[in-house]
Amino acid sequence: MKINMKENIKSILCSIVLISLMVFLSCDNIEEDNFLVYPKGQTSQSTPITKNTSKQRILLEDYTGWKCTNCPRAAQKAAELITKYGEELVVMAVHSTSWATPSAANNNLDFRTEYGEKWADKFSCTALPTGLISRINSSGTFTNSDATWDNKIQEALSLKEHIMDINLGVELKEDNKVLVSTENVFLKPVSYPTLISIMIVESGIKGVQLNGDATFGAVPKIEDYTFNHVLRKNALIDYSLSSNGVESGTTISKNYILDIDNDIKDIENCEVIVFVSNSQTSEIVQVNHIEIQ
Amino acid sequence: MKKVVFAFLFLFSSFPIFSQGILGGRVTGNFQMDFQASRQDSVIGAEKINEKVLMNAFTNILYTNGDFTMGMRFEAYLNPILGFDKQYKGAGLAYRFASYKKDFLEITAGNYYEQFGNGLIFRSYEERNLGLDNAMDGLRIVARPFEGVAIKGIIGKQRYYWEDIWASDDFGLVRGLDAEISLNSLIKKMNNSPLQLILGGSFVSVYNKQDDRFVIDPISGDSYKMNMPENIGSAAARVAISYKAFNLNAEYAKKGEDPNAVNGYIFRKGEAAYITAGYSVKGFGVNVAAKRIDNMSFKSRRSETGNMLNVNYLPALTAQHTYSLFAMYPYATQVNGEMGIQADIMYKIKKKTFLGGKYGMDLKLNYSRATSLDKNMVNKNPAGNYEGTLGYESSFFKMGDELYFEEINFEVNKKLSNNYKLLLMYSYQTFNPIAIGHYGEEFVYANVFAADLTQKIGKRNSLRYELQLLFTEQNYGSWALGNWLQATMEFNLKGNFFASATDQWNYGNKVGEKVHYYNFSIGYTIGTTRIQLSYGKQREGIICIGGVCRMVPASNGLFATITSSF
Repeated sequence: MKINMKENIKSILCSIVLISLMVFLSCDNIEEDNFLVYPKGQTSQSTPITKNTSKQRILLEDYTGWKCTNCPRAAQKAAELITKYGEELVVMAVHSTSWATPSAANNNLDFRTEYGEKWADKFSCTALPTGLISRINSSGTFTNSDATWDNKIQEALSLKEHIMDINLGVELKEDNKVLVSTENVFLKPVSYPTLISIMIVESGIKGVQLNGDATFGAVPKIEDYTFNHVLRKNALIDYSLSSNGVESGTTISKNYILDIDNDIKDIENCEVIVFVSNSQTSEIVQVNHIEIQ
Repeated sequence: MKKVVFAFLFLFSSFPIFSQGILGGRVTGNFQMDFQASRQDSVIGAEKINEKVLMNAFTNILYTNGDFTMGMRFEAYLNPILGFDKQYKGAGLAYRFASYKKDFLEITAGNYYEQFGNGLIFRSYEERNLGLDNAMDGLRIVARPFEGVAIKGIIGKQRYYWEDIWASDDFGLVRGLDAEISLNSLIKKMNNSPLQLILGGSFVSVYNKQDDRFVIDPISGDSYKMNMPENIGSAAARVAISYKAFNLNAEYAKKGEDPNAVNGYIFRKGEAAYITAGYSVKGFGVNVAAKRIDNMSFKSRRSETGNMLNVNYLPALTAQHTYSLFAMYPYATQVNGEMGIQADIMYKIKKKTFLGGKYGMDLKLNYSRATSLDKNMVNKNPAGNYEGTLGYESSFFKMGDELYFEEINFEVNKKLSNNYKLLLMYSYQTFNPIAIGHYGEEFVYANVFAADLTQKIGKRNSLRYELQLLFTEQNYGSWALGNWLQATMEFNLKGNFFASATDQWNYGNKVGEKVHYYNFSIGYTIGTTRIQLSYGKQREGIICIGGVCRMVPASNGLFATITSSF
């Protein structure tokens, strides 16, 4: 009888434990990072803001290609302008069009991106070198020859209204990703929708570049040309920042996660560029950049 | 629904096959019918009733034969009387069940009510005055393998008015297990110990299917889908200890992530702690209680906000008043977070003492206080609010700054002579309207008095005189404006007939008319049947039972009740 009693207790206790376990396990536990399913590219993670803007900046988009013989000249111009304008100027080299199509002659080094091609088409960047100055539409055209870049940048800096600042933080994640935190501070009211784009550019890449002017290197080609500010793949382009008007004093904080392009040679030579544009006119409202540490 | 009814009928019809003598059982039951006829009265805010007469009725019929029991409740709301949810409109079998006991098992199929511990994670119950019925529909097994051990298992869905709960996944599936062990019964050595110890533990899980809910960033237009937990778990542990004149009852409960409409869709885990302790000897008793409730709304549908589909019950720690002016500012349990304390002291002054006189005197002192939790809001979502976030952090022992309710009341009960008995009561109440969902209203501070004198006339007749006064400087709501006076006279004849007249007078109304809410009632009891008829005005207000409340709209007219049992 005692044995039966013990057996019964044992089986009942086992049952209680098993059923309790079953009930207890029937409880979903969602990690904090997964409470909300963010739109692709956005994340709930954040990293401290370390790079602020406090005045208007200009983005120079240098449309270029390794087969473009005058492009080393434009690249040299861009480098001089960086020295001249310092933090007021951000440069991005967009390798696009047939001038950038890789071949055995350049060891199949391909810097093209899907969005770079679209922009080249959209802004009519067919004859290279050419550049966009914060995508300002001047008398019906967006493009500017490298000879006019300095004047156009000066003009933009003096005329462009300082509407907003973009403050940035960046963190290299272990899973081949880059976390970018943005703090978009509207200093003046905005009545149009705005878009935000986040991209990585790489400098110090060695490769073959055709050249037509001995001033800038060997002619007809430079075997160990250094490509700087090269726009890389996996950027987040034209994400909605504000779908309607924004009041003065509004701060919109968003965090983005970018997959690092496998073609990137050295992440330490990379920086993140973030710009906000007017979705109706495409003009860039503000731009900032930050090195990836 | 049809399938369930069919299965139920099948169960009943097949039962005689394996049970003998079913017709030799016992049938019991009861019945209640309430009629209401109210006319429009713009002064008190009573609205016109298009139907002229409203009716709520129910009858319970219970059949018992040995260890077998079956029963049903037929309900009719044609149409629901004022204050009851319009979704009750209709008639039908609202409750039906069959249960039997065999060996150490008791099995119930169909509807049932059940409670685990203090109900912090599971309580299925009916409170007719609140229009609340969260009866389970499913299966329940109670096992008592040994003396002192009770194990309960439940599964099912909860009643939602007349909805076919089985036809829709909108209604969650509730599963639970509870075990309670009385060590004094289980362990022979403790059988006669003055130390009585009962331990218990429960698990309850609700399956709520994933539904689409998005947080929309109003600026960017980005939408963020909420990743809803489908299985919401909860667990509780409790202990009841008594030693001679002392007793202690404590329970702690924890609930998993449960973003829902009541908590503003935050993911913070819920928590509740409830403890009562008492000491009682002849002529003296003291009880103290404390609780902490943190994000403990637990419903079987995450979008539900009313009184229905509550899986758990969170007890209130405030005095339950029967005198109407004392209950004018009732307290509703704050399921999203509150801390509460209550203390009761009862003392009987002995006979033949200076204060006790010939018959002695009963004294009662009660104090209760409920405050907010100390909350520190944490990270906001991209839309700038707390939906889809952890919501807040809170220190377990720290009270918040916001007072919800506070009351101190004192009661003296004295038999003056063979024919007179007197009750005097005083209460000071601080009422924060935010506790009943009214934000931005000023606090109400009320002094309330009652005197209740019962005069015995002959052997079985009595007259009762009651006077209540409420003084407040505040003018809260349309139903609680300024000072009130209530006078009642009630005559009881031989215990089976009564007649009463009451006037509740809002003489201190500084805003509108100083309305007299008069009411005349008569009632007669024959055997187990009672008929009561009232005519008068009912002020708009709130009724709370155990911290659960409902609005009572104003009415002006007739109210009749018939109750019977067999």
